[in-house]
Amino acid sequence: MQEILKIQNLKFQYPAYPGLDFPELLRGINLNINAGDFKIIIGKPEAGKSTLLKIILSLIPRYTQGIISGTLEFKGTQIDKYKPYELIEKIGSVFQDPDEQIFTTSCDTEIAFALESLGVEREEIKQRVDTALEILEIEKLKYRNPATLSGGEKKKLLMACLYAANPDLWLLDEILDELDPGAVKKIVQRLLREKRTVILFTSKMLDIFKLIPGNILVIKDGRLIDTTNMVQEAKEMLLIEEGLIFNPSESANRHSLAEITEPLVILKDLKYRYPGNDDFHLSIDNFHINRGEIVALAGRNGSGKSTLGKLIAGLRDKESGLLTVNEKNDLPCGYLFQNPDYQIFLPTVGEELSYGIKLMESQIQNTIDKFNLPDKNVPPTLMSYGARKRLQAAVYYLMERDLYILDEADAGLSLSDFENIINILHRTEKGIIIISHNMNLCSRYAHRVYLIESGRIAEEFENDLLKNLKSFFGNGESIL
Amino acid sequence: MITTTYVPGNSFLHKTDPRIKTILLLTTVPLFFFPLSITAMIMILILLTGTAIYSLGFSRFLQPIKMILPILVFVTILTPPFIRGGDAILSIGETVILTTEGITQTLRLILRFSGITLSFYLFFATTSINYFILTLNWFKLPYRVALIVTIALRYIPYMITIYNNIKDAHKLRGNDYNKKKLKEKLNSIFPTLVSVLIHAIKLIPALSMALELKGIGLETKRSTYSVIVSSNLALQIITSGGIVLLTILIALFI
Repeated sequence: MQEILKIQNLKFQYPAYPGLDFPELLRGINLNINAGDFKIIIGKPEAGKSTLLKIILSLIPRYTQGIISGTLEFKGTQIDKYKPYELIEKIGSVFQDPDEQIFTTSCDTEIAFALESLGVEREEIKQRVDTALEILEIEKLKYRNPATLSGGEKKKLLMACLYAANPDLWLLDEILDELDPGAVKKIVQRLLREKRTVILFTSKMLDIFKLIPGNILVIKDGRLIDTTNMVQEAKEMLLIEEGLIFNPSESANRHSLAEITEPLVILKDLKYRYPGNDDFHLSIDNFHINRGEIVALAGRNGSGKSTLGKLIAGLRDKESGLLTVNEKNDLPCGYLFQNPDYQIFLPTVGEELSYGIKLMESQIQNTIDKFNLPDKNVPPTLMSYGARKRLQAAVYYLMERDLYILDEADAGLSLSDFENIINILHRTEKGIIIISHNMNLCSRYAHRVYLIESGRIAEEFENDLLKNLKSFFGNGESIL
Repeated sequence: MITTTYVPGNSFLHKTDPRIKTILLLTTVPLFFFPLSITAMIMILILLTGTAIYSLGFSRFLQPIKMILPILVFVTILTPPFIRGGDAILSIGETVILTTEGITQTLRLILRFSGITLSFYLFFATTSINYFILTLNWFKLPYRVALIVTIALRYIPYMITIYNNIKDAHKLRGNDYNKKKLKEKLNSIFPTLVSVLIHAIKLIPALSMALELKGIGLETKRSTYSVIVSSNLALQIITSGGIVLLTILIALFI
């Protein structure tokens, strides 16, 4: 087998800032990738996965300061000999945040862009673009502006870019997070069938990884732990310790629904359409949430889950129908956006928490402890993505809202962090909506699940949530 | 991630060759800086308005007008008192508030600003960014320069989208954007602007990385996926020539 990538004793540390020291993130990474290997590097958020990916792509230290040592070779040549633009046909990548990578204004030109840079003939570009769109089953998105796509569709588009450029090594960072389970299954099976050389970085263990035995590496304390020769119990223990899977012996601490009947949210004959976009209509006949209830919205990419969440939060104006959310409160909803930076703007954690609320020092410190946040004087902009998400949740916790909407909030958080947030926000008088593709997560916490399909409620489950979800999405690709 | 002002459609303006549209734009916009009569400016604006409504529909036509409305109101209130020429129309005591020249100049500013805005809006709403890059290349602008120009243009609507997302998020934190007093209004907008600024700064390295990973920096001669396809180019040139001539005649003789 031809050796594609060889990493030896790689170490990396981000620079320290006043009040915020970063420990060494990578403490001796060793990794050998041969042609046709499909390796999964799994680790909790902030374990260093994205940093490792960017080092392999020559983007670190080119764009980010830090102390780096060790050797990285691509097919025998030191990686730092290459500029990122010289790697198109060698190493391709999909980032965790697709918005960081997409910059043209139609899907076909996005796929074609790298090929144009390589000087590929126009007829061949056209052919490769069409083939890539077909493989990812997004032909109908060919002329769409990527800005109008859902998170999962954007990731499919970036995968299509890789299919068109056809690099030797594919680096996929959390690409399965926002994809519906059916799409996950198809993509992973296809990559395996084609014997692509892939490194998949993920913070969640999927059932489908059972198809790739002996190739799971856990990134812990800055090092890679190969689980190939570990006994099943030890492997499970490691994954539970790192918050990568739920502990099967512990069930979620849910409120009983027996005494809860007071409605918090009521929707009837609700209609909505995006201005200037006739392709998508939201039409909800009946929907409700009682106080104390946790309800999950599940569905395929682009089905309208986030749109429904934003309507309930009052961020979109309905076209017609009834929508009520505790009329006694002017601001009844807290919405945890996929991107926490939309809501964070103050210089320190302490100021962020106390914005618009009078708090005592002890309340601030108590909240910091509850949400596992850094010191109150630390600037949020220097905190990790996961810590910023926890800060966003902490802000709403202090604002005491009636309803919390968690939109793909599990992305970028470990399962234990997510569980902690749910447990803190969940009160008998409050409601929670979870929007997620993670079937196990939905079934673990939700009292009911609404399945959204093409802007409508396709089904509603109260019992056997996991079984029903699996039967809807197809078996074999749920999150463990 | 970049949004755009382009509105997909099938109107005659969408089908018009982007090179011809660029020439029309370069003819129309400077006209508004010439010392034209008010009647001539109104006639050119009517021509642009008719084209906008016919090509994009009434609601789309209103979009840029809504955007510049606060500026137009500002101009209407602040310009007249500072222009003293002409006959007095309104005075308080001995202080002249409004003059004929004040009204003329204000009207001229409003027409100029509306005309320029509408011209650019028509161009970018009916021309996709890819065709715009190809057009700039056709005019012999180097690819990298054309790319920089288009990225800068594309970031304006993108930042508006980010601003709206952040505004949504801040509304949920209790930020009231409907405050009456100017100081309170500024206080509510300030946190939003700070968040937008943080986003804008973070975008710089992200965009550079994205560009490099897509091959910007390679010395290889770029190929092109999109090409400008024009049907009835001769007819388009004759029609456009007629429009340019008509506009110049209006400008000169009315």
